[in-house]
Amino acid sequence: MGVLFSRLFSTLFGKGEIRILILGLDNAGKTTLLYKLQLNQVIETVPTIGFNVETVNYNNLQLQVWDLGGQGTIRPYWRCYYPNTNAVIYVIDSTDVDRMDTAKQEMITMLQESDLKGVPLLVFANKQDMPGALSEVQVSQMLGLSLIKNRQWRIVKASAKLGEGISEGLDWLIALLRDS
Amino acid sequence: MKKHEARAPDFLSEIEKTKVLQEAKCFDASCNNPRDCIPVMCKVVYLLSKGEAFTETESTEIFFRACKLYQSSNPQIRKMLYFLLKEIRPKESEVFMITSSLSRDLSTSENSYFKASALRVMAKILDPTMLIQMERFIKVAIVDSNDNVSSAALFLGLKLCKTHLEVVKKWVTEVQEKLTSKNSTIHFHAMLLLYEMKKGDALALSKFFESMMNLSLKSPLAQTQLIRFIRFSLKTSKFETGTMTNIEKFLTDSLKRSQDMVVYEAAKTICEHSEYMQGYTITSALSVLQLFLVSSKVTTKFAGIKTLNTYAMKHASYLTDSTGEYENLLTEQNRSLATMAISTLLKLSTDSNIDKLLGMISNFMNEVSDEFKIELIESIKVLCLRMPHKHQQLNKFVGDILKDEGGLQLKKIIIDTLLQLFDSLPQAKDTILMTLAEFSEDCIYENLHLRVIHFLGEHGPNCKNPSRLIRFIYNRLILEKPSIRAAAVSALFKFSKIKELRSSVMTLIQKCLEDKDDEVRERAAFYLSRISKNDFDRPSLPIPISKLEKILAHCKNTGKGFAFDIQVTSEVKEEVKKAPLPEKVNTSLFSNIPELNALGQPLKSSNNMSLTEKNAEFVVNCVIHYFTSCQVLEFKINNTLSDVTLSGVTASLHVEGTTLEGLLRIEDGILMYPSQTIGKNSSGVSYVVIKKLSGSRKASVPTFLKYKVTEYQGDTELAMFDDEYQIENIPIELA
Repeated sequence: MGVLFSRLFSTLFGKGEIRILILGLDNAGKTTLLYKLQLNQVIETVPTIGFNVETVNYNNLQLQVWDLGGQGTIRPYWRCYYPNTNAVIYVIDSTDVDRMDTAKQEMITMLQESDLKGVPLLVFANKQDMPGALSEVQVSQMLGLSLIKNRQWRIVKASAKLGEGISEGLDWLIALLRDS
Repeated sequence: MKKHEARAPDFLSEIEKTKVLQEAKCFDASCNNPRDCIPVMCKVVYLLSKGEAFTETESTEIFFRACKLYQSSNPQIRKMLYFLLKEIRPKESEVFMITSSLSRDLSTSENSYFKASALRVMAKILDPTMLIQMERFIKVAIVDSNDNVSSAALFLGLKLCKTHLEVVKKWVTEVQEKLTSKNSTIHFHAMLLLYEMKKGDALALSKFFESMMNLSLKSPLAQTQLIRFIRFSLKTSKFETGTMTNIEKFLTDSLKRSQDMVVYEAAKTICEHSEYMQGYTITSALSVLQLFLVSSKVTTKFAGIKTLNTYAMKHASYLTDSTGEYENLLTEQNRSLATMAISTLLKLSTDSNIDKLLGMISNFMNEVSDEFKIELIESIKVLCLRMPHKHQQLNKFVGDILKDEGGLQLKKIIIDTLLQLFDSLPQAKDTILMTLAEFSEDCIYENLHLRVIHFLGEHGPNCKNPSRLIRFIYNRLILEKPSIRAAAVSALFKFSKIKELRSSVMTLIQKCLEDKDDEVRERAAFYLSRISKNDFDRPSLPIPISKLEKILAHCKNTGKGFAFDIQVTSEVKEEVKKAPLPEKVNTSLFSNIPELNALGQPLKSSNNMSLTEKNAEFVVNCVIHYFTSCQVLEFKINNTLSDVTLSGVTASLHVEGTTLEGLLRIEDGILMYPSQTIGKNSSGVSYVVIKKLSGSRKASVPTFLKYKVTEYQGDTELAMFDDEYQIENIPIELA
């Protein structure tokens, strides 16, 4: 009973954490994004085997951000983390044209999961600071984002390294979550 | 509510797997509440420790759910999580999911409890890929200023020694640093780890011992363990005299320590390796052990008397003077102590007190457990051999134990002892046969029974009064089950060798022709026909049984690749006939290579395989000798050229990408013995040893000969160069 009450309490007063998943292929910049968000600095990363999870304070909101490893061996396990997710951030390496199709396939597979039904999707066309990066429009076309009808989505050009575009995307996401 | 449940007495029985799996969904919550999660985690751990079977999907599910709890930094949840992870033992294919989390605990966490726990989780679940990533963190953790962390890291190292010794060896500086730690546990673990690193190498080991002995270990556990390590090592390694002197001094000093366990280990080590010790060292070790006997603690007394018992024969001359001290122990309430004392006394006994001793033992024999009876039997055996004239009393004593109730192990050892005594004490043969015959009257262990009956058949006919034995064997025909009856028929037949008994034996066997069991009837008919043909000798096999057994064992191990062939076995037999001393065969077999001769006799040798054309420049033949642990390929190279000599001929075998060559140890799989220089128009031999591993298969392996060629014109050397020469593929068995 007490548990139920405290849950109710936390939902009412908005103290419950918002759970956000950061997904994407390996070397897309997920871990860099996570720690840029949390510590506001660029850290030296190694490929994530498994996951990182941090609580991020964003505009007085507690976000629980999960950064899952993007290597091919880990991707099948993403689905274990879908339940109770409020939003998905999909990070794209905009310079990696060759694997854009793989990124698309993985995204489609992910969005089909029932646990993620209606969950808003924010795509970061990352690495805009690098030469040869595709624009967000090109990335959007290659991913076929315009075909997504059953959820809110948005693509934002970003550079996790420089911190550009991150707040733009997150503000959109937060506003959306507040409304719902 | 939960709390009340937890106190209810049948709380545990209410924990059900399906329910718990449902409850585990609370791990997914975005904000974990310790009050929700911890009871569920406890339940999962309870189920796991109870041995509840989780299907693969279930354990995967629980593992991933549990991983999510990493988001919480609540210390209680985290504590339970580490515990849970150790219990779940995730699958190898999934364990990597927490690699990153664990390494973060190690690398960035300020919380030393988290660090230590992460290391302990790793000790349970670490896989090779994880190790590569974690290595540097572990190295740092070893020298962590927090004792918990350091101790956990050392412990992880100890675990890894079994599987990744090479990696662990790289941490030697860090571990050495920890030897000086004030914390006795760390100190102890560091020493264990260093020993594991060095134990493979005798020189490093002796240096290790030297440095450890100088360090004057403060922890008694560490010192005890060090002495044990010394004892183990002395069994296999030889140390230099200087080191031995230091070891002896160290052990003598240890005898003076205040902790019983240190003193005990030191004394035991001195007794076991007394051949390296001075007389006075041994004396002091023995007197320390004797002092144990008057200790107030039973365990100490027992340790003392047990060790004295073990080494009684070795140091009998010193110990006989103080038998009074052991006699005091006979009045002990603790029967184990008393038995050990008796056993020791028996070993040290003399003509004058033996009867008295035996009398004493009989008094409490029925209070003693089997394992101590075994101990006594051992002592009696030694005694019998020492005092053959007392064999009557001793045999009677053993016979009495045999008649009493006892487990298979005990009975088996008694029978073994009797059979050994039978071989070594000619005057006791009749008595022993009678003891065995009486035993066969009420033996409940089938295998042992068969053995006894067979033995009676083999040796009974030669004793003074064979007809008495026949009565016992005949009783078996009436009373026992088919397998024993069959054995009894065979045993009876042996007695038909004696002319006077033949007709009676025949009558007895004839009765068996009506037995209910096929085997018994057939044996009876078979033996009757042999008696009528006067054929009493054992039909001879074309090959000695021991050899046949070896070959069959080899066939069994190698499976299809090595079909049993009586032709082969008879070939082996021929070989034996030609050379009555098998060692001689080997000496000529592997000319002057002692390592190969040490392998003993081959189980089988293949036919001579020709690997080249008959008229090639170098004619190569190969014979494969099969041993239990390896195969030796013997290459005979005949150099038909008159202007070239070959030296250092080796064969290199190309097995699926890897080339087996080079001079390595047998353990590594292959060993080469290059030939001596092969002169003009002459021949030489080169050997290649391939280790055979289990689950082997046959393969046809491309082979090259490699050698150094020296060209001559007349007697002048023209040129010298390396060359190789492909010969036919060789069929060998590989892993």
